[in-house]
Amino acid sequence: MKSVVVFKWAIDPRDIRVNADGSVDWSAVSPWVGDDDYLAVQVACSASGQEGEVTGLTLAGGDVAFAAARGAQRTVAIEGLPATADAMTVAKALAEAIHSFGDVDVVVIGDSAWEPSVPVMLGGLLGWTTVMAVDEAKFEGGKLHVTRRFGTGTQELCVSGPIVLGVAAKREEENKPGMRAVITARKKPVTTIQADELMKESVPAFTLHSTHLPEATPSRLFDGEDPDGAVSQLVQALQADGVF
Amino acid sequence: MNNDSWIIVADDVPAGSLSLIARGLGGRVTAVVVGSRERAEAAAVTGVDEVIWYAANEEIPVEAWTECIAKAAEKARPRVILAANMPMARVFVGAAAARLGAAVTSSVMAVMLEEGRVIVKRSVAEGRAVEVLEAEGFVAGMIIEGAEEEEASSVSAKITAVTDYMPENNIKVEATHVETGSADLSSAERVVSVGAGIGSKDKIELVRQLADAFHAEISCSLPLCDNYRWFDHSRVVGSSTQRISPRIYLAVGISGQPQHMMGVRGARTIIAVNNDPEAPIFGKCNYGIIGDLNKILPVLTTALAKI
Repeated sequence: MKSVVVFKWAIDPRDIRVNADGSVDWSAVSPWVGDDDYLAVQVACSASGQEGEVTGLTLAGGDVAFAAARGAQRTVAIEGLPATADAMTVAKALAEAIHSFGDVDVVVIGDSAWEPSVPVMLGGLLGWTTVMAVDEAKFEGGKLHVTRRFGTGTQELCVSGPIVLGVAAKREEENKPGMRAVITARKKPVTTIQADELMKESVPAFTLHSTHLPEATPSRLFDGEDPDGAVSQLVQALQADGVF
Repeated sequence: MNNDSWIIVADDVPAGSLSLIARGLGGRVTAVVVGSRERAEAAAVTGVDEVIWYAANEEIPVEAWTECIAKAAEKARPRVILAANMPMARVFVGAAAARLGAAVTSSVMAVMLEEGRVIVKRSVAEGRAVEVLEAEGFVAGMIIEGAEEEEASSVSAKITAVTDYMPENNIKVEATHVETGSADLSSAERVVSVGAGIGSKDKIELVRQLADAFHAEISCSLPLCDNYRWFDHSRVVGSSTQRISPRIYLAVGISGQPQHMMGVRGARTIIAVNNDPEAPIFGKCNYGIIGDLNKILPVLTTALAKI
């Protein structure tokens, strides 16, 4: 199986600066390694099987050895896409890059809480079966078996045909690659593609009209030095405000 | 272009907030429901004009209906498509948006029509700012977690079951495992959450008594699972674990770190109890008591038991 794992593609919202007048400064944002990226690489490697091939795909510059250090055979970096590109533009660039790779069986991407639109838009633009909340995937008996979270438990799916998997890590990466693995990974091939080579057509987009601060919801705090008094005040406030 | 909208319901979350936001456009609102008859009936009383229902069964995953729904969207051409930020519903938004060529966004707070353009208000930068966006064409997106809900309507919209389409056959369910004993926080209306500020494992009993009195589920911050092993993973709430949207979230001994608070952005009301007046959570909650948990929790338990 040929897999593509998308990593280091989403911007961290904590890098977005909001000024006192409600204007938003995006100048400090750039694609960053997300909490789910390590799991995405693991799932891509597992889905490919032992004879398979994994390609890392990223929107980031600089050190792009993340996927290679965790098992990807090569990396492709898309250059020239603004860090502030909207979800449809990001998804379109990724989809066009994946199309250029030829036959791909599985695309794995972190189902990032930072940008929930991109993984499903990627699936929609590729026109492939798309499953989110994935924990693991295995290629066995000629088929791909996917385990995803379902209600309070899990569900095992059997899939044929190309698929996009959105993974969400439950915990932090436990066995991070050491320095030797990272140095070795940097020797694996890295190819760059220019975004304007991929984006031949314009994509539907929003126009920014304005920004402002959210309506303030000040906290009502009570001094617990007198527990009975504080609890009484809290309950009265909750009842008066219709919270119950 | 019309000003009609679709709300897509494919997960077990209340659809009232979706309907409320979609009605801001002023046009006809259709609920496209994938799942059980009960899910369709729940959507029918949220103020929508009609329900189109794709019946899913235990052997066919919901995603098998993706192409059907994308084709239906291409035919009906709703101006706006909205869904909750849930794993299955989002897949349909992606497919339909790609088919329509829609501009896509997330954390949608409101939509309206102005001189033929769709105006979208959305939350950005972890809720620190609001963007107002405009689109000339189609729009699709996920609504913000914790959006305002309405009481169910006394009028139920007509439910039309789709029978002339077949789901895709390239994806099948092999097995479904329901974890007994696991917490189902996703639908809990009330949650009492405990953090490292509780101090010791034996103090957890105070939290359990509070949760019982308040008829609430219990959740915790990540360290209480991964570091102390006081709770299993199904109880952890946070940006990398599970995100919940209860009506009332009572945080006990939780400092309010961003990774945890991302998990409860959808909570309607946040109440915090902590002995540290500088704890970040006091800048993010609606109500709070600053004081000794050992003294406050028993009093709070007694008071909430009477509610």
